[in-house]
Amino acid sequence: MNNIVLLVILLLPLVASLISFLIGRVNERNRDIFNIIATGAELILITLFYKKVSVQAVDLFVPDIMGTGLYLKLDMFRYMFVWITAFIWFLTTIYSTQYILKYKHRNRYYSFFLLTLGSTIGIFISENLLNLFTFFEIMSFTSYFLVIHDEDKYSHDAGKTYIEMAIAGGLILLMGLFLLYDYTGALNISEISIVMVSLGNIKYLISALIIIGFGVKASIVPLHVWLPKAHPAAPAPASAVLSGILIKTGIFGILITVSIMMNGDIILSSIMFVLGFINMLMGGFLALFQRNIKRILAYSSMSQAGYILLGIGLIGLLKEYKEIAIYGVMMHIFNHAIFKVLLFLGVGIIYMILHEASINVVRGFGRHKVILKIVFLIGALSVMGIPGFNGFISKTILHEALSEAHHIYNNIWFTIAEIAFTIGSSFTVAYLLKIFVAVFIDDNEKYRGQYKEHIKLRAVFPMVILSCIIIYIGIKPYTIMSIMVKTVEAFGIEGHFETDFFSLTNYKPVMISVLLGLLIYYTVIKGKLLRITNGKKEYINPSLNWISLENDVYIPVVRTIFVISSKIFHFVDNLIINIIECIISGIKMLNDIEFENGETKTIKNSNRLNYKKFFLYNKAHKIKKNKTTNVEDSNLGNIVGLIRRNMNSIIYSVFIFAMILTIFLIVLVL
Amino acid sequence: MIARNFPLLTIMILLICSFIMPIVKEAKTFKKLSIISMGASVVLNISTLIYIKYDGSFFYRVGHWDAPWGIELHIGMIEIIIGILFTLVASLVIWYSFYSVDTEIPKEKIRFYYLLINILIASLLGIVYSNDLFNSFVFIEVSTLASCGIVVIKDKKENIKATLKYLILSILGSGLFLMGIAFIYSITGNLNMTFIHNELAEIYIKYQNTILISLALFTVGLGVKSAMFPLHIWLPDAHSNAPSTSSALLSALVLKAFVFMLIKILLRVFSLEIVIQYRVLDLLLILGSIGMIFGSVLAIMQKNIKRVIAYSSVAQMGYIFYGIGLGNSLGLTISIFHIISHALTKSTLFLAVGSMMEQTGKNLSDLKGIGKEMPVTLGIFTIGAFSMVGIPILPGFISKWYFALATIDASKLIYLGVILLSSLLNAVYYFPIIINGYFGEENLKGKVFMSKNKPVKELLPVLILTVGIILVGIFNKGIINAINKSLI
Repeated sequence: MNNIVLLVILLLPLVASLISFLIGRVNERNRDIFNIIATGAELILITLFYKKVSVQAVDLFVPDIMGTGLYLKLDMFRYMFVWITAFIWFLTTIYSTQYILKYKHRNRYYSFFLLTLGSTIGIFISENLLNLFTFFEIMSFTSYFLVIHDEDKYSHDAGKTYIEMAIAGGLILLMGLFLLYDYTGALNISEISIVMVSLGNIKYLISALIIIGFGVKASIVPLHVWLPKAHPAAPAPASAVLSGILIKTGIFGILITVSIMMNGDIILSSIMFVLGFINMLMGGFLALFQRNIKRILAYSSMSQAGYILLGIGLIGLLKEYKEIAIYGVMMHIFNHAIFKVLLFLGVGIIYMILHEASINVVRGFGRHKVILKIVFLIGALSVMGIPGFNGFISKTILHEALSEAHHIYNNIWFTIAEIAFTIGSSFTVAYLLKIFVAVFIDDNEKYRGQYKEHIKLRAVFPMVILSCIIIYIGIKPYTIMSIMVKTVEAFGIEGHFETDFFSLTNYKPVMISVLLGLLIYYTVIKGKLLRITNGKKEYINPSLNWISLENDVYIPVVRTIFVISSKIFHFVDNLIINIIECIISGIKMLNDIEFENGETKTIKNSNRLNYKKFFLYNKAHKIKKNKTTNVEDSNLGNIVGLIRRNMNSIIYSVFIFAMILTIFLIVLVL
Repeated sequence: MIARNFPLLTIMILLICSFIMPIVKEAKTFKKLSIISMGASVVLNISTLIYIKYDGSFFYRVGHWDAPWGIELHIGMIEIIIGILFTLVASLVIWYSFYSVDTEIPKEKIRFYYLLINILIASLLGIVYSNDLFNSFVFIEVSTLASCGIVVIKDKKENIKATLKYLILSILGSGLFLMGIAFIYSITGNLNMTFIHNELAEIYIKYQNTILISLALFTVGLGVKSAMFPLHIWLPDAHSNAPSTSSALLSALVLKAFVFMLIKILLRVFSLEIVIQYRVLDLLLILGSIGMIFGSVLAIMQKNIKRVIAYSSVAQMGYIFYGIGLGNSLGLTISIFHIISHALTKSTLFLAVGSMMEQTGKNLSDLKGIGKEMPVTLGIFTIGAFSMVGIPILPGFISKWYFALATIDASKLIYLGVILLSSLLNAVYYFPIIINGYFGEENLKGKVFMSKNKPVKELLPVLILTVGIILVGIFNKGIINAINKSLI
């Protein structure tokens, strides 16, 4: 029974996608209701499933499909991912009914939205890596249609980058999986961890390939290129799930690779730790300069992913004390999904009304929109990690894990890491302040509280729910943490962790980072980026002129590789073709070789020339040799004659010879 | 005792004479050398036959080396009969060629022609006599090149084309034969047939697949050389374009040597008990039957008289494979008898046709009314054709009769229909030539009696061959008994 439910959880969105499409062709209103019901049913189903899963992990094996059989497993570790996915999808679906109204291709949007839900859930509940890969690829393709939904030049450009990187990443991941299967013979995640230990250095290659594959989705630094392009391009609910959930699929993959399959290997963990810091600082730093609100949020997602990667690194580094890092990672995954979706939905409302997300244009828009202002503020404060909001909880745990690592290893690098952590947090404060001040505090005579009628309840409702959750978790973190106790078991240890969140020691780093953030805001953003021309405030973005990883590195490199390899393959191709043509023409020459009638037995002179030409390059001869046998006007007798003449030729006689030999051998063997 | 050396001596005489020919200046001298060496071989072979008749078959050690190291010749009744047949037919053909060679072959090539014939016959005798697989392979290669040589000697465009085809297919066949030897050698470690045979009797259960593959390789490799039906494709071109003396040699002797080699391999290397467990014989039976019918059908479709006879060879080779395929001793005996009868008949036919073509043309329509102009030649042709069709007394009938008996012996009654149908088809293409030659007012109009007839001395060799046909027909009992006895 339980495993049937598991299958239903997987299939419900996929089936609903089809039904939604069919309904949508008839009646859009019914389709919207159906979508809300479908995602709601999914959420309810998963929520009700909690009792079963919390007692015992549910798994399901369906043999003979998807190559190796479909092996699904839902334990508490996965449950958290699945639940947050279903929850976010439910809210964004409600939001979409308002947001997407003015767009074209609504039907397509909903179908792919639900398909993406199905495949994302598939990723989270796959126990078999090959299943996971399949769902991962499905998700990449279905979400592509969400990215290019606007179908304008910018979104196609972004979609191109997105799909190219997704495919490249997918192929690298597949390579990793091939190697993995080759060396371990196992594809089930829990089995691999046992085999992996005994593997030599090849396991680093394997895990590196897998991490690169997942890293594209998780926007690890050199692979983040698609993210700041795709997020602004997609419709707001889609960017919300891209940022809130789809990044987490990559994180999920990395988490199972580093912490479960590799048992928190110390080298890999250190690399992830460093990458996490790079991501955090880089994302935060670049976010400071952006003017498009959605792009700021996109870079923010990258920065927050850095926090999670850093946590993953800490899981390995802390070894037996790792439960604190696990809590931090899981909490931050959960919290980031909540607050980032909230922020994207908030920005989405602005974009929905003005069709513009540039901070220079929408400046002062939210000054008189009270509800929007409040929910956005809640989201922003949460990201900043202000006490009382959920971001504070996870950041505090991560910070505490970092301190513990500092305590254990006690070297200069961890001191630097702590400083970097504070700087990263202060970046967060600065860029969010930039948005908030510009959009919600600045005065702009264009926007005096009009457009309020555009903000419908169904758009605000999800945001209010999310805000409530943020505050609830922020105040009572232990409710959710008690749920997470079982999550830790997936990493092979038991135990839980307690800390007094609301103490002065925990407030101190927050206060430092907020102060530092304010400093950065006033010096860098107000001081350098804000220009006042003709009494109009305008932000500038100097980072536009900086080196672009995509345009200046990836594209030239790929293009060069492509050109070089195409030259090489072209050469090889020509070589093979020429060799084959030489052989063919050699046989042909042998077949219809022309001899002079008379005393001398030499080959005709002209023919000899041709002979040479054949073996050099024989295109000219090909045309010449194109015998004009008019089959059309020949009757049956002629055809028989033709066949007989052909049968008489040397080539055919050799063919017949070979055939007879084959027949002989076959008959004898049978 | 001295007769034991004769088989090797014949081969040596022929080879040495062929090597002398290039240094002889006078055209007459090397012609004489050729006929004398061939005649001497006939005499030597006959004396060996007499020796064997009284003292039985023997192994001859070349250079007095014992078997596994030295090369052995095995001379039995069958071998010596075939040896006599080959040398006899070859000497008659050479005799005949003295009168026709100038018209058919460029003058400066004549010397090489006789050289090649000597080498060819020597290597064919080598194939027949040798008891060593690799030695046989060497002789097979030599004979292949020599037979290609006597086809291409005419130096015409179509000759070269036909020879190329013949050469390529023959070499493929030789390659397979060599591979077959390699397989056998790898499991037995011997090249001497007797030793291989003894070795195989012990180990053949272990190496079923190897034996199977080598059997297939031998069969196809020799099959292509002896024009087994679907592999006959080279034959019509090669035989019809060659000089008629070459055609006579090729069709009468070369094909037979290879098919005899196949019989030797099946019988003496593998032994019938082993071979019968695989389906090689069934395949030979089926391909033989198809060849018997389609060879004739294809012959009917031809317009060129020499191609008709060439395709007739395909059909006749079909009989021989058919006889092997029956898988009983009578079938094998009669196959060997058919080798003899067909060798005599086909050489007669080719020579007769050759002399007719000299006077008229190469198409069937040119031969109308030839019976009035060349009654004796057409008469000889008629006897040969009658033998092919299977008119009693003539050896063709004898072989067909015994083939039928062997078929009944092997209880494969359906195949009787094939024999009958094939005889009928033979009649369909031979009789019109004879009827149009002798009868029909339109055909005979304007033809002068005996106007193109050749002098008796030129006809003599063909006449001797005809007498040979009739003699073989009459004394069939003795020959068949001798073969049968030697087989067992």
